[in-house]
Amino acid sequence: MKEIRTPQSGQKLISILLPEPERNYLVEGIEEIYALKLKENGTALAMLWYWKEIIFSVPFILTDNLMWGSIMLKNYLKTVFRLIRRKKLFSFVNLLGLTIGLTSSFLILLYVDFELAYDHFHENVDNIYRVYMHQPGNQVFGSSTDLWVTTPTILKPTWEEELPEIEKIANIRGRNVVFKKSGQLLNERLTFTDPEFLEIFTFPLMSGNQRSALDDPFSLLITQRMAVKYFGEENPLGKTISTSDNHVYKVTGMLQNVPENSHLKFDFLASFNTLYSIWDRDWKSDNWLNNGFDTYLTLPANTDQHQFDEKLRKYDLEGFGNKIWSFHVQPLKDIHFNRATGGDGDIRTIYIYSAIGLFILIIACFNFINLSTARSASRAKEVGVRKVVGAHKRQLIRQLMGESGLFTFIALIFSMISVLVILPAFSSLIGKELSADAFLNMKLILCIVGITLLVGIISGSYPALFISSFQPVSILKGNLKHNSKGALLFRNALVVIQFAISIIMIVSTITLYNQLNYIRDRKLGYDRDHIITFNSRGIKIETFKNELLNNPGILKVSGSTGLPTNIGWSNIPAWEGKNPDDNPFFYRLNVDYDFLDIYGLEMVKGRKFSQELGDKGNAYILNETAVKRLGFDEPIGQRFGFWRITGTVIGVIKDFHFESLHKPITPLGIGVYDRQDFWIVSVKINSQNMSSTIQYIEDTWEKLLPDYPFEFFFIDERLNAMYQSERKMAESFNYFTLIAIFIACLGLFGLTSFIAEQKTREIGIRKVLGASVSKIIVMLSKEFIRWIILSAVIAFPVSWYAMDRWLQNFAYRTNLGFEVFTASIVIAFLIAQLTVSYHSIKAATADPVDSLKYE
Amino acid sequence: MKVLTKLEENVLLVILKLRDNAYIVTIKTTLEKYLEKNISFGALYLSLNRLMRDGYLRTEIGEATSQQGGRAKKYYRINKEGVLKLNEIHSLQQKMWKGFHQLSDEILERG
Repeated sequence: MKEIRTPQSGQKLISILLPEPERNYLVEGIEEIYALKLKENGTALAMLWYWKEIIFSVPFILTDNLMWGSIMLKNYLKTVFRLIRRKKLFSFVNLLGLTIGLTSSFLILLYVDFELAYDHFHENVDNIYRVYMHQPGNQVFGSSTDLWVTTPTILKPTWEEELPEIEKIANIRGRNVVFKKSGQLLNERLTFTDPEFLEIFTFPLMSGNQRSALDDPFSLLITQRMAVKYFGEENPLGKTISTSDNHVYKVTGMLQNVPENSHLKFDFLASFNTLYSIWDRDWKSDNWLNNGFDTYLTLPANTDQHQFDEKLRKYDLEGFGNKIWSFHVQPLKDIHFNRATGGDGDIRTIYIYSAIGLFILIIACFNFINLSTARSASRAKEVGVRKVVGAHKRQLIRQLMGESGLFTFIALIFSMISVLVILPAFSSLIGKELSADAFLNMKLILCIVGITLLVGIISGSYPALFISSFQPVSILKGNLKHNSKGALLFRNALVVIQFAISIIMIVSTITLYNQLNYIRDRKLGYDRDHIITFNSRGIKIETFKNELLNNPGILKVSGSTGLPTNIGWSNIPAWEGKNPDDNPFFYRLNVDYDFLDIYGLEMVKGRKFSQELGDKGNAYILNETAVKRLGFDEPIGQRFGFWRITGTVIGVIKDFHFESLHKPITPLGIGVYDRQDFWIVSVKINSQNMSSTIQYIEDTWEKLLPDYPFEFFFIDERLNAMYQSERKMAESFNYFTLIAIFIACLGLFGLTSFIAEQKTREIGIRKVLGASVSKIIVMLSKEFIRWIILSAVIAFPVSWYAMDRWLQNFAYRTNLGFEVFTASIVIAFLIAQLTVSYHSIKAATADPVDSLKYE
Repeated sequence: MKVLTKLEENVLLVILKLRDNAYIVTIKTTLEKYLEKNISFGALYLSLNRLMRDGYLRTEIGEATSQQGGRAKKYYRINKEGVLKLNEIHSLQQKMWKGFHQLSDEILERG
C-alpha cells in the first residue's frame, strides 16, 4: 500500500510537544484516519479535518506535558529536600556560601547602580549640558584644575540672543542665608535660579504652579523635608519665612526631596529676580569679567556636542598672545565622574567594587562546584539506579542542573532578605544613602535575575556533567572511580583560584590599612589638636579676640585667609631676577601675628612675623619648596611679592602638608596683616573643660554678632574628612575580604571532608602499621600547603600590580614591602589550616577498626 | 477515591467493548460514533494517559503489520482496577437513576 503522508508542519508541531515513542502512536493514528478521509471526502476536506484535529489537540497535549512535568518536578524537589535534610551540614554550607556571595554582589550592584545612575533621573538627561570655562593657568581655589564651572553673568542673555540652537538656559547661584523660625536662627543655603530651571531638570513639584513659581522676587520653593522642618504638617503654600536681614520669602511651591544621586543638591530654590532686587543690579549690562553663575542649557536631541563646542570659539578671549579663557559644554551625565570640574564620583572606585563583587561571586560558584562534586560519591548510587531504570544522561543533567538552580533560587530568597536587612548598615559603611527602592528598577531586576541564573548555571554545570557521566555498572558494583586525575586536578585548580583571590584581597586590605595608618601617623608639620575654626562672618576679630582671651581655657586666637588644611588661594609671585615667561602659581596665605604659633609651624631660617618691626604688608615667609622653586641660595632678605614685588622674605618655614597626601607639597608664600576682616578664625583651647570653653565662645559670638548662628569644626575632624573615601573603602574592603576568605574556607572545608573520606582506608592501614595521629594530620595537611603556595604564586604579582597602581594616587605613600606579602600568606595559611584541621583530626583519630570495616 | 471525568469513563467503556482491538484510532472512531461528536486526538491522548497513570489501563505493543507501514500499534487493555471502577460507577449511577422513568413519566403526562 502506498504510504500517505500527512503535512510536515503538523507533524513538526506534534514532535515539538511530545517525546519520541509517544509521538509515533499519535501521529500514526492521525495518519490512519487521514487516509480514510482522503479516500472518502477528497483532499480538501481531509486537510481541513487534519488541521482541526491538530489544533484542537494542542491544548490537551500541553496539559498532559504540564501534568507529567509537575510530577517529575515534585520528584526532583523531593530529592532535593531529602538531600538537604540528610546532608544538613553540606547543604547548609552550600546555601550559606551562595547566599553570602549573592548578598555581597547584590549590595555592590546597588551601589554601582546608584553611582552610575547619577543625575539620570532627569527626563531630559541626554540633552542637558553644563557650561564650563577653561582658564589656562588660573586654578580654582583649593584644587588643581583650571576648569571653572562658574561663568560670566552676561553669558545667559548673550547666548540666548546669539545662539538659537539653545533650547533653554538657566543660571544658578548659591547663597547662604539665616532663616528665623520662631526665635531660632537657622543657617540655610538657597539656590537662586531662573524659571527655566524647572523645565530643564526634572524636579517635580508636589504643590504650586511650576510655570509661575519662580517668577516674582522672594518666591521660594522648598523641599518636602524642609516643609516638615519649618511648617510641620501644615500646608506650606503661601506661608512666609523671613531672614535675619529682614527679607521675607514667600513659599510658592513644594518640591519632592532631591534624589541622593543628584549632583545638584538643594533644599530651597529661590527666584533669580530676588538677587536682582537684593543687589539692585541687572546683569544685562555686566561685562564678561563678572563670574558667578553656574549655567545649564538644553540642546535639541542628537546635537553633536563638539560641533556646538566649535560655535563657542567666538567667545574665546585672548590676551598677550595667550588664551585667557574658552567656553565649553559637558553633558550632564559626565558631571559626576569628571573630577576636573568638581565631580565627586570616582570611576576607579566603581571598578574596584565591581571587581570585588565579581571575585566573591566566583569564589561562591567555585565553592558550590567543589562541594557538589565532592558530594558526588554519595549521589552515585542514586544516579546509578536512575540510569538503570532508564533515565537518559540528558534527563540526569537536567535534574542535577535543576537542583543547583533550586539551591541558587533558595539562596536568592535568603540573600534578598539579607540585602534588605543589611542595606542601612552597608549605606553607612560606604557613606551613600542607598535605597532598596532601586530593586523596583527593571534594569536591576534583570541584572539580579541574570546573576542568579548565571551562578546557577556555572555552579551546576560541572557537577551535573560529572555526576551524570558515571557508569551505572561500576557504581552499582561499588568500584566507582570518581577520583580520576582530571576531576581532582580541576577541583584543586578551583581551590587554588579561590585562595589566590583571597590572598589578593588580604594583600589589598593590609596595604589599604598601611596607607591609612601612614597618613594618620605622618607628621603633617603643624598642630591640629584642640583647635576649632569657623568663618568670621565679618566679626571684628580684634574685639572678639580680646573678649575670648579673658577666658583661661582659651589659649590663642588667630585670623587668616586660609587654614593649614585648606589654603585655597593662589597667585603668581613676583621676585627679583624673575624671568618674565616664568609664571608659576604659588599658594598664598595672609595671616595675623599669632597664626604661626597657634599651628606650631616650625621655622628653619629667619624669624617670625613681628608687629614691632613693621612687618605688616611687606614681610613674607616662604616654605622650603617655594625657596627651592625660586632658586634662592640665601632666601632671607630677598625681594618678593605677589603680582608685583611688595616686600622682603624674612623667614623660611619647614614644609607642611596643606593639601591631602594625594598631592605633593607645592610652593607657599605667607604674608602678614592685622586687618580686622580675615575670613577664618582659629581658636586654640585648653583640653580641659572643652565644652564649657566652647559655650563661652558661642556666648561671646552671640553678643557681638547675634544675626548669625555660631558654627564651627575641629581641625582634626576636617583632616579626617580628607581621607573619607579611602577610609570607607578600607572598611568595606575589610568586610568583603572576610567574606571572600570565609566562602573560600567553606569550599576548602568541603574538599577536606571529601579527601578524608577518600583516604579512610589508607589512614586506617597507616594507623594499624603504627603511624601516629600527628603524622597523619601532617600528611593530610601537606597537600593544602602546596595549594596555598601555588595560590600565593598567582596572587602576588596580581596584587602587587593592583596595589602599586592604587598607591600611585598618593604623593606620599607607604611602601609595598615584603612583609605585606608574608603576612597575607601566613594569614591565608593559618585560616586554611584551621579549616582543614577539623576533618584531618577527625580522620586521624578515628578507630582504624571502623575505617577498615568500611568495606 | 479518584473521580473520573465523563470522557475518561467513556474511554474506559469503549476499550472494554473493543476487547482486543483497542488502539487509538478505533477508540477514537468508536467514541465518536457513540457520542455523536468529534473527539480530538489530543483530548483522547490526555484521557488515556490519565487512566494509565491511575492504573486502570495498560498497554501492549502489537505485532508489526504491513498495513501500518511496518510499525507496531499500541493496544490498550483494561486492568482489573479499571473494571472495578466501571462497576462502581455503574452501581452509583443505577442508584441515582432509580425511579427516573416513573417520575419523568408523571411529569410529562401531566403536561
